[in-house]
Amino acid sequence: MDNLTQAQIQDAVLLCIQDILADTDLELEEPLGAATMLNTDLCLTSVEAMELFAMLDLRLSLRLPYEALVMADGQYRDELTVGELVEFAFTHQDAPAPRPQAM
Amino acid sequence: MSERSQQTDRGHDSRPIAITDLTLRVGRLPDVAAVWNGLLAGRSLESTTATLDPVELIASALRRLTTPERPQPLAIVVCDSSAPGAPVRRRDLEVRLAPCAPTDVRVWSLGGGSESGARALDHAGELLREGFSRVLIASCELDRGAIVGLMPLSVAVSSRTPVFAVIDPGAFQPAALRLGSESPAAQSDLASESAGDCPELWWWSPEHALHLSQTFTSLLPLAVAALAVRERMIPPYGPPPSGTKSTPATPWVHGLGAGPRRADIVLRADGSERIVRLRAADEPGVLLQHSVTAWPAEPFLMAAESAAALRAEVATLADRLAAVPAIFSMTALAESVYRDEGLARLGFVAADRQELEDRLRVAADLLDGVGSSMRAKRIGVHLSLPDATPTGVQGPPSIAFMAPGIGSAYPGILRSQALSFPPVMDTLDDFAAAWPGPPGDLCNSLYRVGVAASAAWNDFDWSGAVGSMAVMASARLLARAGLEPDTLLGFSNGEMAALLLAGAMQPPPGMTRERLIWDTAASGRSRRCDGLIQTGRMVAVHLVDQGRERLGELLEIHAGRVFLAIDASPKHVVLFGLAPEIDRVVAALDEGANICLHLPFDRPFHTPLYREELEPLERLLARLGYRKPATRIWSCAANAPYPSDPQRFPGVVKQALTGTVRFREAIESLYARGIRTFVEIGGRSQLVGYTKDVLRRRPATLVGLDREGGDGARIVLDALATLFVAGVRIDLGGLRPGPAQLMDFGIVPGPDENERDLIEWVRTSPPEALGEQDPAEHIQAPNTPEPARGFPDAIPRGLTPDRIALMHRQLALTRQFIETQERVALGFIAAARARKPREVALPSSTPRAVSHGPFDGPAREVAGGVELDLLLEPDRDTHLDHHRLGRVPAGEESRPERPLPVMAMVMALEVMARAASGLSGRNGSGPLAFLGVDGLLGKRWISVPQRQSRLRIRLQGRHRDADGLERLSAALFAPPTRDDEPAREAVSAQVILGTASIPLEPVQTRGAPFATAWSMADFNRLALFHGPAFRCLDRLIALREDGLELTAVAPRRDRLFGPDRQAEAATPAALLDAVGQAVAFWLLARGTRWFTAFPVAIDRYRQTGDLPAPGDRVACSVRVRQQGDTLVADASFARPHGPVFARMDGMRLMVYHPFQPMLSRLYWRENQPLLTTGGSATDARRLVRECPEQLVDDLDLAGGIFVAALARLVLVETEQQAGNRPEDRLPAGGDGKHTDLLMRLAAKEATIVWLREHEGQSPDHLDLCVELTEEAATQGHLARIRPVGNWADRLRGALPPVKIERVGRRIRAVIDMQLNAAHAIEHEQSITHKTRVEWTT
Repeated sequence: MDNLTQAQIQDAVLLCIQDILADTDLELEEPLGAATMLNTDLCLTSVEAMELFAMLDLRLSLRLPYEALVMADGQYRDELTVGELVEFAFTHQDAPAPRPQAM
Repeated sequence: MSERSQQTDRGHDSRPIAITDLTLRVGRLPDVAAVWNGLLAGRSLESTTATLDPVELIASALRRLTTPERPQPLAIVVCDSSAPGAPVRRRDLEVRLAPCAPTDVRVWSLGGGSESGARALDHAGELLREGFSRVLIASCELDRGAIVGLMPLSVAVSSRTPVFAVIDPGAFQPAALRLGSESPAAQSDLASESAGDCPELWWWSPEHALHLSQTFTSLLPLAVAALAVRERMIPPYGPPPSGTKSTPATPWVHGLGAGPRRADIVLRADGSERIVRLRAADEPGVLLQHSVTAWPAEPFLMAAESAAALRAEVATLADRLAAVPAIFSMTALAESVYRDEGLARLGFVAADRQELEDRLRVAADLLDGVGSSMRAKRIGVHLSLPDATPTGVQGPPSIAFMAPGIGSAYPGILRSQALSFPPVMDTLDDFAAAWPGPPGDLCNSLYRVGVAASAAWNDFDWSGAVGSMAVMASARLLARAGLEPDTLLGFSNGEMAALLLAGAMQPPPGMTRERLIWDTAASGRSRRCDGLIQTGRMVAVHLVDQGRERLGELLEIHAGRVFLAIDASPKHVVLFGLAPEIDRVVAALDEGANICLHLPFDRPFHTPLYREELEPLERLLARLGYRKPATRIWSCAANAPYPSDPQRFPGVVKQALTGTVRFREAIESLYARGIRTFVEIGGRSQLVGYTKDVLRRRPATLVGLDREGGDGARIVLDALATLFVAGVRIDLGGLRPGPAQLMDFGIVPGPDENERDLIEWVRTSPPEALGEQDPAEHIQAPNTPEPARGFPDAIPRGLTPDRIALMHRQLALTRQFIETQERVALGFIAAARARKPREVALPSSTPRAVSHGPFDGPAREVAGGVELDLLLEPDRDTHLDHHRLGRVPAGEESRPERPLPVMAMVMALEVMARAASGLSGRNGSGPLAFLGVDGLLGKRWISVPQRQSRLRIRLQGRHRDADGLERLSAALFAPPTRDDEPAREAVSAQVILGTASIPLEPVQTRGAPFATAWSMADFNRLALFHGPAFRCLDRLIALREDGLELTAVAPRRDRLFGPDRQAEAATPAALLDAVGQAVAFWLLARGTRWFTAFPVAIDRYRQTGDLPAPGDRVACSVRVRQQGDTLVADASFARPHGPVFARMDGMRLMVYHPFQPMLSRLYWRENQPLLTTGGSATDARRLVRECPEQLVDDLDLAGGIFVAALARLVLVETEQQAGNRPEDRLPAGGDGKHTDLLMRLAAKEATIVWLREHEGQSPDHLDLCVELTEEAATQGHLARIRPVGNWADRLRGALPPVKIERVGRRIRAVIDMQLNAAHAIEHEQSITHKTRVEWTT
């Protein structure tokens, strides 16, 4: 399978975000950009962010190792941008399916 | 100059300077103490000033700062806030200061002005970089003999060197700023002074280390600026163009050897309270902030009955916002719109004008139905509108507090909230006090950053304990805001926190809750370290699609090895499992596209395996007390309320720790029971996300108080706004920091043989009750149980009126300094450089003669300038005549105690303007016209003892500024009263000349008018204003909360103002003088009668175009504000429907009570300096006692304006029998002379009103004489009123007789018009009761 381009991934991210927001009273009023922040700009909770990741996996038929994206130094990251997500997905689309981390 | 090139565009110098340590206390300055005590002992300020040489004072401070051991050069930057243009005696300073310090002393002079302080800081930074070890910024008013502030900025100082001290000899309250040490063990570079207390928990709470008086809160910005310099973040620091803007951090090296640290300063320059915060981002323990409100933004909470009404409120607020000045109080604005009654509710948080505008716009759009909900949510605009068909329960919603547990804490948690909300800070202090180790360790652990530091947060027990701390702090914060939950829900180990909060679990005797939490954490840690606990792996799982069903299958397969630890929401669970089963479960879940994330916890929390760890906890739980909780507690473990029997609580706790956290089910249960508001108390707001996932789109309000990476304080305020909109009652007042602490008398720490402790002196002085209102009450701090005047007990006794008056003046002087410093802190000049003005010579040839009008003879050259003589002739100068305070009968000019004409300040303005424009000629662009003045300052009375008096005007220092305007320093000198006395400078200003016209904006007043369309006669009739009787003021248009709008008629000119063609008036002086009268009018209209207001200064005056001709009616707008005992007025004049031709900003009027000795000074000392007070409080009484005939004669002979006011003084004091000493007592009621005086006063005033009412004439007391005769037939008196002067012809034959009757204890003056008996005018005076004027027609 050919690798996905960043543009394809970004489109997929946009569609996933729209699906998530469709479940709320909020509508997307501005075009998404790489700097759009999931929490600050889109008001997504951590649960909704994880839902976004899951939907993205499904849409892209990928299994991305999100632990590397959301965890830093043993702590959850407090913010993530669309660009970081797209870059992460683009970079890790060939990564093997995640395995549990050893202690 | 290479250093300058290193500056960034923002003006930051990134080159570090090794400033170490932090100055702590104000050292004792003997000179100041002597001055202070001298003043309190009753010595006049003049004599005190004479003993206080400001240069010597600086020298004294220098001696404290320098020692022979530190020979580095010292620089002094002098900011002289004297009248603009006053020379700063730089040479003198250098010469005199050099011997005081064993080092090289250089003096830089920056002159005065509001930016001088900022320039001084900037300059100080440069000097420090250039190698000066110490820079002393001295803020002075050298021409008044005052040093209002000394700020030593040092490269390396001791722990005792003062940072800042207000040592103005006029200071009512010597203020000391004590700033806490950043390390109790700081090394001292200099010999330490007397020991002082070092607060234990200084680094937690700025309040511990910061002591200041209520009066001087505004000094904090400057102090923080000093700290900024100390911390080697050197200003300049340009104010952000709008809104709040963080500056980039500037690193420096900590002098005590720790690593580099960073900080940022947030400066809010527009639209809100002034906040300067100095934060150390990576250095433990140093949290310094100044703010009067300490909030990063202000919540706006508005409610109305309907959407339409709310929309109108929004529009009104937007209009008000458009009208406020550049700098306004967001807090005041928010408080003014707060309303919590109504179903339509709006809430949001705004930091500054820009944010407020944005939010109002979004709110308006939402209410108009065109708004974006996403945008509203993103910026935090919360709106709730009433349903058309309301269903369900109305009223405040039921609230559940959710207490998180494991994983809710993170490095840096609660920092922002601690700085902004005292309850949070208090909680941190409590936990610090209970911390088993040194307090610094706790701070390090909480706020240290870095990989190693973050790893510490993976400690299960530490994280849990800190999470509990955050829970307690948040709950305390909300309780202070008036929020109490209906239900408490604990998540994970948050259940213990919930129990503690509800009072259901009590620590053992002698143990605090905080210590209990620390001990609980320690017990688990010890068990783990012993290797006694089985470990495994914790994994967070995001479930998709059929994930929950699959999970159930897997848990069943691997029962006993893999457990559902936390069931947070439909999509989010946490598993704990032992290897290798947990890996299999995770792999299986992965296959189903569920997302698994490893958590850094390895202990079997919330599983039956955790029972092994419970033994120490069980022992601890057994020691605790249990009682029925004050609030319902819902157990996540049991998905049920805690049992009614408190003794069963330990079992529930154990179940909570060893069983699944059934949060999802608990939320469903609570929702089913009507809970609609869920508030997460604690860190991160993770539970809010879970709750949202549980409830999906079901209506509810979900609020968190924290988010990692966010501004915690702002998040709290936004949460409160959200809750308000949901119908919760919020008490913001409970969250605001309290008033500043009272200062202690560090500046006079110990008496010596020549001094007395201030408190002791006050206590031992005999009381002299006078019955007047204590002016000190005017400065009572809000929300304090007792006045914050620095006196520890009640109102000090033994303060006589003149001392109080003295202190008023001193306080005014100090407040003037404070305002300057506020502007300094606010304005941090980005690149202020003192530009040397380009000197422009006055005509080198023989000055052109200026001999027309009031000037007598040609100008003559003197050193540095030219001088002119001014001739005053009261008989020919009508406007001067109108300002006399009395009339000198023919042949009695030599009597010094007679009231005299006094030159109004604006007359001085006029003559300065004419002299300056007459002499300056033209420049390359054309003839120079007078455009205005800056800093007009009246320092002394200019009285006119003779029929003709000669004054002197000096002009010097002409230069051209960057705008092409020419500036001249002008001074008017009062004539000496004796031949051997020098002339004294009475009025000074900087005159501004130019060739182009300048646009002027009108002064705006606001608020609905509460009086309109009065005539001055109407008001005069009611209030008996005793001023110059509104000679120009014509009609009141509107009287508003902050000012008034009137019309005025330009009076005819006289000799002084040039009746001939060659000498046109330079200014509309009479109109300008009317501003003072308008201010007095405004005061009277607001209910104050016992006062005297006298203009003493004008900050800025500009005029443009042609002046109105005599008889022209102009529109006048006056805005008034009070600053201490000074009124400040801004005024503009415009032609009807035309442009503004004159504008005055900052006319300052000193306001005195009639009991002030000023009145008596008018009689006794004409040359008494205006801006100093003094004299004996008994002068007035002595005058009355010894010279009652004098008063009577004055009244008979059309005595001066203040005679009537003095007469009122007599009346009131008589009634109150002031003074304990017989010689102080006034003539008692019933005394012949006293009654005589009253009758004359009544007769005159009745006549005045009658004339205005029925003849349309407006004389005042000056123009009428009273002749009183006794009528044997009626046993009453008859008063014949005789007009004098110009009124003699105008009122010839027009004055009816006045009958004087005694009616009981009242005196009534009646003018009985035979033509219409219904129009009898009675003026009543009471002999024994409080004087009251009544008019009956």
